[in-house]
Amino acid sequence: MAILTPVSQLENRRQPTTTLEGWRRFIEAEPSQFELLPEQDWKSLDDRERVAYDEARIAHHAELVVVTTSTITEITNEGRLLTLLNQREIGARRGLIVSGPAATGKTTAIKQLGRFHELRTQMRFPGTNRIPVVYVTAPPKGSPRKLAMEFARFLGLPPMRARQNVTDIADAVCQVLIDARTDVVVVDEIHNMNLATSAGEDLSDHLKYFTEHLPATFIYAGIDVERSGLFTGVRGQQIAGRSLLINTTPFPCTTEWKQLVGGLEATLRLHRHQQGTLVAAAKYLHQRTGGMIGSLGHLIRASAIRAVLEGTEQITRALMDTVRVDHAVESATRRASSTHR
Amino acid sequence: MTERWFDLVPRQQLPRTTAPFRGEALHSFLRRLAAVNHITVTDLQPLLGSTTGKRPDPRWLSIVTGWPVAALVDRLRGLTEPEPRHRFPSALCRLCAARRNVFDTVIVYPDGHVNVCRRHRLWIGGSHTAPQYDITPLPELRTAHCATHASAPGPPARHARRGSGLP
Repeated sequence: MAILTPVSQLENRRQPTTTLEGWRRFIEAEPSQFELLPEQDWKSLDDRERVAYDEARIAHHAELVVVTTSTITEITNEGRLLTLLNQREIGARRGLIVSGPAATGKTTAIKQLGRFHELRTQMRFPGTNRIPVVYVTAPPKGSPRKLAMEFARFLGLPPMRARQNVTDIADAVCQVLIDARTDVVVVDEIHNMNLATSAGEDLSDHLKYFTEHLPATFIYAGIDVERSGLFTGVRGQQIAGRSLLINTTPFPCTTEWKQLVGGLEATLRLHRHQQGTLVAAAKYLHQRTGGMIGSLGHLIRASAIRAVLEGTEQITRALMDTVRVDHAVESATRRASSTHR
Repeated sequence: MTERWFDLVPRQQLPRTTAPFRGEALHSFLRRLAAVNHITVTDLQPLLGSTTGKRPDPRWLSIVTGWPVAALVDRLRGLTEPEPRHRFPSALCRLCAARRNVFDTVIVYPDGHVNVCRRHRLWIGGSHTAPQYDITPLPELRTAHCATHASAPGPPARHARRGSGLP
């Protein structure tokens, strides 16, 4: 029997994961489950029922499916090891930096690391109002005040008054996080911090202030941070000396890529789709997406939604040709094909 | 920066919360709530739809604390009606508060004329700033208190807290 959930685009608006409520919803969210109706029942649906059924399927395909890749495994393992190492550390705690091109799964991986840690903590200390993980993004053109405000916004602390200085806000944030037994602080989009500017230097110093005042493991993620000047200068060397670096790269067209495609294909809920079609087209998908997991997810999910909307109920190569992926991948594919000519 | 009313509606609970005690004065609860979040009561006011001298909106307080509106209205004095003028506030027994990990002074409007904490044998009469003495060496005080309260209408039964969602 199909699970018909009343899903609509306008219902269940989610808070972003950069707020405590949104983060907790993300932690508690179960992977989307959907069972297809038997052929006979599907054909006998009236118009209203069919719209509801298709809406539920579209919502299912719109959900991001997390497939455990070797990168996610490495990042979660290293992150856990660091958290365990840092729990008895009094001085400088070591952090983890995840760096790589856009759409290679950095954010997904660090969020999974945070999720695993929070679930483990909930299991270990049930019923306590701890906040084991904090997830913030480095503010664009960030200043120390903006960074402190990001932490305060995550926690749901009230808007700070204009006359309050950075130390007041940072102090309140640190005290709350210490009381709430925070173990992991995830700072995404760290490439927003430009150490070549004085504002960037200030931001870096304040990030260091937080690392010294919070007994937590700091996990950073950003686009090609080695080349964005994060490790240059005295401050950069300090960051480099205290952090492990894990690079995320596009996937090569190997067995793992096929497994990845297979994992995504298994989540499709289309009535005419033959399982294995996408695995057989793994090379084509690699060419289209350049091995970027984010682009692969987009291409497959967008094709599935289009197959539902158009009523074809299957993903074919012709259909995928009509789906546009992100500009970075498309331009890279164009460049590659012109080089081969 | 101009503050807009729709920016001020609380969107989520405060990171740390504390439960109100039965008969606790509103200002005492707000002070404790602000303290556990390491902010001031003034910082808290925009989240409660209140300004100085104006009572907070119970629904906003419910969002911010995570406790049901009915439980807050039931326990807090001064939330939906002015604080009682004909009764004097006193401090809750410090050991009763400490049992719930509260080490700050809790100001309450007791339901009856309570001067002694029977559980901890502390003198809790007088103003909230008065010291709470151990009355173990004076058993007649406790006996007199018990005799008074045996005839007087007592506080609500303990089982009344069931279903309120509060500890």
